[in-house]
Amino acid sequence: MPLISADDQTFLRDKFAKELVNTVDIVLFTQGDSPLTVRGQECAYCKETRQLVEEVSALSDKINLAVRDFVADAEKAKQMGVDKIPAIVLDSGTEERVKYYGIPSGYEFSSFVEDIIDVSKRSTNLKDNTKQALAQLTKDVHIQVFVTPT
Amino acid sequence: MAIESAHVKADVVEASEFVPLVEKYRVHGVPKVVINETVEFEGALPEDRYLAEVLKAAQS
Amino acid sequence: MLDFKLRPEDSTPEGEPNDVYDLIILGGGPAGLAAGLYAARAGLSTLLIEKGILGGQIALTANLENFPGCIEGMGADFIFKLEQQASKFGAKITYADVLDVNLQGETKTIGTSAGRFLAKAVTIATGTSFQKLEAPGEEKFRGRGVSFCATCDGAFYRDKVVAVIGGGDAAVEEGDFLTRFASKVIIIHRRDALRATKIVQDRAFANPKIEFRWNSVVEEIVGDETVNGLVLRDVKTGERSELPVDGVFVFIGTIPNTQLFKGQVTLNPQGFVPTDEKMATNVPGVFAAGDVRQTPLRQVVTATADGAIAAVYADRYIHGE
Repeated sequence: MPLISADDQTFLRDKFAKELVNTVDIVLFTQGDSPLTVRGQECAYCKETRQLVEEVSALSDKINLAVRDFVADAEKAKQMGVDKIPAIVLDSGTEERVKYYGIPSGYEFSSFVEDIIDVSKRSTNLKDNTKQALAQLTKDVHIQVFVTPT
Repeated sequence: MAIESAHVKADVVEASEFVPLVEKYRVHGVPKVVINETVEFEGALPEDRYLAEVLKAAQS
Repeated sequence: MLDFKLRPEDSTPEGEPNDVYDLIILGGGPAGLAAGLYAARAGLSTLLIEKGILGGQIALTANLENFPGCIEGMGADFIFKLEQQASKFGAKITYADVLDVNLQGETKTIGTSAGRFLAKAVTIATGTSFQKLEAPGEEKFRGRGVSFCATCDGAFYRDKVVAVIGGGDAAVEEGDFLTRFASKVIIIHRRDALRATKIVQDRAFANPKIEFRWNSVVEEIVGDETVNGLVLRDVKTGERSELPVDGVFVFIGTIPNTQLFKGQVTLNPQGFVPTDEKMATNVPGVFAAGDVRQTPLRQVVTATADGAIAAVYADRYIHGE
């Protein structure tokens, strides 16, 4: 049973075909189907998150998916700055700077789709003065946005 | 913003899946935004005010 | 339960400062969006200015289940549809804080954080904010156990005990909603009976997770890092008691967002905007719609109706009728 409805799949396939520019690499960090669970790293929706990104990546040739194991690929996770799972890293011109921790459900799914497109375009709908101010940043900024499904 | 600037990293964290973080940042409402552990605010802000918070965090 | 929803395309164009619009609408709740829809359909160049997120109070409601004709309750979807519908006919939306207004004369000026906008007519649809308890601890613990939005914050109180203050529809409905998460919801009301609609009351009385504290008011909200209790006073006996809770949701009514309009349009003693049946205020070309208006009922259905009337009469005003 797909997580994304048939109608939405058709809509997204069309939208991706029209709007994706550069290839987007989605890297999902999850844990394997091993019966052993790592203590303290209970992964409530890892399975569903994996299914979701698999369905999304199937909708366009320009979306590549790599699934990595958080434990087995600990080195890579560290390198990408991933410290919890499930983690979805959007990688293109943005050098892994956009991450979703936890499953993007409800309207967060919509934001996720928009982020994929923006990452692919390497530009956003932010105002010009916002873009200018951001371009002048000299220090690193780490924004964490906490959301709940709505 | 992370797409626009190489200095910005953005995480969207689904609060109900990461209880320890929620407790660490005392998240009691969403959307809650934490920038560089120094600036935090709750609720949706217009773009220019959001930017002001980001710039504030970058200065401290 | 997981679902994956797609927001409608956001293609609404933003307004440019210094343009003279036919109509500027202040506030993007149901009243403002409905006014935008009707105004744009009437061919008015229309700009809607919103300070936060579209939807007004509805954006904070779990479920809109009393809009006539909508049997399946709606929430955010309703607002997305309204926005789409308004922009389909050409209404523009800008997100900015309104800083000052000048509503006198033929051209009205709206100063905002995104620049100055001009209009021939203005519709005030700024709605209401939550009335605060004005009890010690309320500000200190806001976002740390004190909340005004069950939909937003309810999930953080899984298996916890929460208090809900108030006895109207909002308090009782949100209390009922909170039992999805909380192990116990205590509704604290200063009278000995609820003011909420009968069906809402019946639902609450039938809910085993809901308890009531009658004739009680909150004297203080206490805690260390976050809320851990309330000091209550019995209004009949004057007796004080402590009630341990993990969170408190305040729904004791609303106050109109009209501070900016003081001295510009007539306000009633509570701060609401009186209008005639055409939604016109005492200032020519200035209309009001929705919860901000002096009105006996504040519902989505009345707010959208107000918006429609306000837009139609703004159109007639502009065309000298």
